[in-house]
Formats: sequence, C-alpha cells, structure tokens
Amino acid sequence: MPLINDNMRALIEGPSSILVGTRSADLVPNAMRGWGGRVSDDGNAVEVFVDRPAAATGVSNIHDNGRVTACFTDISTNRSVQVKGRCVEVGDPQAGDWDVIDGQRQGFTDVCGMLGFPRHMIRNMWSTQVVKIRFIAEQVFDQTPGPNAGKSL
Amino acid sequence: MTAPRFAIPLADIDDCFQGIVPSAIASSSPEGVPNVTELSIVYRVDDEHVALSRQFFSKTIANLQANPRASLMLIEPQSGRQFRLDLSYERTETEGPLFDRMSARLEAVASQTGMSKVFKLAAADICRVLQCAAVPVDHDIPPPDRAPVDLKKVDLISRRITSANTEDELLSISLEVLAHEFGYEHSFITLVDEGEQRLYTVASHGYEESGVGSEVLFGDGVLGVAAQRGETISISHVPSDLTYNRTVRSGFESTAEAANIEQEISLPGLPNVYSQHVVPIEARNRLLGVLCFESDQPGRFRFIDDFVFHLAAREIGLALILLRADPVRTTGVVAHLSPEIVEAAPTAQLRHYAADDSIFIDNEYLIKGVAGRVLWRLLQSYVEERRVDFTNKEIRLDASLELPDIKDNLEARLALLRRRLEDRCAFLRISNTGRGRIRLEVTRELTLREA
Repeated sequence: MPLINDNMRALIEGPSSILVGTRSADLVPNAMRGWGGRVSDDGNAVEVFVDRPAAATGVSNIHDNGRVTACFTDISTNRSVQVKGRCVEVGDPQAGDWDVIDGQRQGFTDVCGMLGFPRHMIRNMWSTQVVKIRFIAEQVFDQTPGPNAGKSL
Repeated sequence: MTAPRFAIPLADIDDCFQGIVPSAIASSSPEGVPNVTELSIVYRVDDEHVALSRQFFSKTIANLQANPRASLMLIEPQSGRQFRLDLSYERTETEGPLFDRMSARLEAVASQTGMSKVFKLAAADICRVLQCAAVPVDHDIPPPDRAPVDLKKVDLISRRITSANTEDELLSISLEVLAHEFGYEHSFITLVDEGEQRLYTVASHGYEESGVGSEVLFGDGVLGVAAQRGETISISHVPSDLTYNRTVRSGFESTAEAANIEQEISLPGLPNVYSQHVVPIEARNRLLGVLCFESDQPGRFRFIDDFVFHLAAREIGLALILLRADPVRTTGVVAHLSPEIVEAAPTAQLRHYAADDSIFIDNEYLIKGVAGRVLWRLLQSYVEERRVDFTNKEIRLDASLELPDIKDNLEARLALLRRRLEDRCAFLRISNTGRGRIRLEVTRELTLREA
C-alpha cells in the first residue's frame, strides 16, 4: 500500500508552499524553500527541487546523512502534510522537470496573488538554477494547524 | 553592550516580523530526524532574540527541548527577500509582558472567529539568534524603501491634536491630520463607555458609512481584546489570519471542544480589510478608548507607522484627560428660541423608550443610552420652550438626566450624538457654538412621544 495517498499527492503536486529540512552530522538543522513537488507512481517516493544558490548547506547535509523532510502547504486553506524520509538521489533537473517546476511556481504565484501578494515579491523568492532531491518516504504527518497537527497519517 | 555581528542585523528586517507571510522552521530530533514546518508568527524580542508563537504542542518544541538548534527562514513581504536565522532555543515563557503581547494578537483573531475559549497562545519559545543572513538568489533584489518618520509631520500632528478646544474638535482633528500627513485613509476612534464594559465608535474617517454609534463589548474581536488587554494589536493580513483560524476551528469541530466554539463576529470597518492596527488610547494608566487604522492593502502599516500610531494615541489620551479635567468653560445658561421653521415638511415623529433611552425618528432607530437620554432632554426643551442653545454645564447638572457618572464622558457623548444626527437625520443638528456650548438646529416640526 502506498504511503502517500491520492489526497496527499494532490497537495504535494499542487501549487503548494514547499519547505525542505535537513540536518548536519552534528544535528544542526537547515531550512530551504522547495519547488515542483512530485510523487512517484507507486506513491512511495517524493521529488522536490531547491534553489541551487541557497542549497549548499542542505545538499551537504544530505550527502552526509541522507535525512530529509518536506512540508507541503496549500496556502489558501492551510491544509498541510509533512513527508519524512531518506534521500536516494541528488542532482541536476532532467528534461521535463522544468515543466513541473515552472507549473508549480506559476500556480503558487497565482494563489499568492489571490491572497493579495504582489507577483514581483513571489518571483524574487526563487532562482533559475535548482537541485533535484529525490527521497523515499518513511513517514507522513498531518501538519494542518489545529488539534491534529503532528498526527501520523 | 555591542550589537551582535550578524550579516544582517535583525532591526534591518523588522518587516519580516509582521506575520504577513508564514515563516519556515527546521529542527532535528536527537535521533537525527529533521522536521520542517510553517510558523505563523515570529516576534523580534531584541537585537539577538526571537520568540516563536506556539498554540499547540508540536514536534518543533519537542525537538528544541532535546536539541536546541533550529533554522528559521523569514520572508520580507514587500520585496520577497528571504533570510535564514540560525537559532538556539533558550526558554519558554507562558506569562509576562512578551507573552501578553503575543497572546493578545492571537486572542483577538480567535475571538473574531468564535474561538476565544479553545484557541489560545500556549507558549512563547524564546531563541537566541546565532546568525542572520540573506538567503542567496541568482538575481539582485533591492531592499524596500525604509524612509524614516518625518519629524516635522510628527510635530504637526502633536500640535494639531493638543490644540483642540473641545473633545469633538479633538476627535475630528486627530483623524484628519493623520490622514493628511501620513495617508492613513481609514481610521476610527472608539471610546470607553461609562460602565467600562464596551467601546462605542465616536468618530471615523474615510468610510462610506461613518459607523458612529456602533458598539463593541470588551473582549470581543480585535477592538474588544485590545481594550480588555490594553495591548496594541497589529494584523497585517486579515484574510490569512481569519483563514488560519477557520482551519483550526474546523479541526476542533470534531473534538470535545466543539461546544466551546462560538459564533464568528462580523468585522467592523472596511469590508475588504487587509491591514488593521489597533492602539489603546491611555492616559495616566487608564484606558480611555481605542484608535483603529485600516487599509485594503496587505502589510500597509509597517513598524515605522507603529511609532506614529502610538504617538497619536498618547497625544489623544492626554488631550482627552486635559479637556475632561476642565470641562466647564462657560457659566450661566444661554437661552435662545428657535428660528422660524421654514421647511414645509410634515411633522417628524420622535419616540423615546425609557428602558434603554433609545430614540426612533419616524420609526428609524437613531441612538440609545446616555446620548439618547441627553438628546431627549434637549428635544423636550425645544418642544416646550422652543429653546435651542444649551451649555454642557447645565446638562451635567440637570438632575432629571441622572448622569452622575458621565462627567468625564459628556463631551464625547455629545460628539457621538452630533455625528449620528449627521448620519441618520436630515432635520436635526447639534453644533458647537463656543466652548462648552451647543445649539440644537431643527428644520422640521417635531412630535415627541414616550413609548
């Protein structure tokens, strides 16, 4: 049975806000913004892309220990899930990846625009060079604010 | 003490702490499992500390208690610049001035969405900032304009507010000068009523409907919580805050707490409000009212505006105290008969309900309470004696009005009455005819009836 069901897939692959967390060998965490979330067909792996200029520490952490987590939030409803796992691939985006990244960035910008945020401000949040991170999902948590936040799904 | 040597001083990114765009925080368990989540509010405590708001027990605090390091990402709402802060958790506060300030904002929005009994700030987690640096991007992002406050304008505001001769003048001048000098287009003043249980709107600027006379109970919504707690409350993205609370609300609706969820309160003021800044008007440690600014732009009010708001609120508070301390500026009673009524309009029917002193004009509600009682007395004098000129002193001393506790508030009530009449009635006006003097202007025949 896939760890990530269709509802979670829709959130991960939608125009969500994406955050990526890693930690160093001495347990110092690092937060990054992610783009272009995608779930494998079998529902057990997740791909995200992080801005290369901002990713040095995060990528170094992943090379060190492979631990990675990503939080996906629909900013119009605050529905949110966090997927924790182990990285199996770090590298450059491949053909077709930019369609996913650009599509998600466009959707995110549109949602932010509906909430009153100017487009230029959202555009300034990303870089044109990214690093691909692919990880096997081990745990999924409900991250939606409220009494169930943090509950394992 | 020297300021910490961060790549970016925290004071330079104050706008990141407005709570417009959620922040990101990453932590790690002692076993090495990272956690990352959005964080709705981060406060800057001082030049080297931030406070994280916590409403529920979370994995983040569990991690921080075991492994104090955290990575916080902030976004500057005007520019989109991002900043990464390396943190070390120091302590948790569940009371005290910082906790009170943080919880007032949360409580205010919770109250607005009927969640005041179930959604509260659990704790403020205080972290030391070890480093603050810009998150690198592959293009230049100019920092937002951070023009300093123009002290000439501040001086002008202070002079205009403190030069008011009456409370009525004070209320009008204050909002006008703030709009003119700083472009605060939508604002209103509410004052504390005699029972110190509610606020009533006494003056407004920039709204289609003045809203004068509307009331808010202490503890209800943003205004009521600001009054009850005596705290400034700034909300920079009202729709996001409301959506966040409604999400939490739906989470509680399937729990035992559902019974404690109350009705949402409709927002006063702008229908499409994004930014709302509410400042208590205080003097000599006493709450006199609340000053509210609104905008249909997200993040309209920045930290620099906060300075102006507080200065204006303090000046208004002091001016109110001074004007109320010297309320009687004329002696004797001036009696004038009404001029001939020239308008050939039908007689207006005015009804008074003694139970709450509400007054209806031609079946339309006008006003109630103390202001209603005072108006009824003026109208009776007018109908019986055709008298139109009155002094504040005689109103204060009029035993039939039974107003022993309103000596502080009479001028404000008269100001409210004047504005309500302007809003709701075409043929009655109250004008100021000098210090401590008012005139009732009537342009239709009246019939008064006790209901």
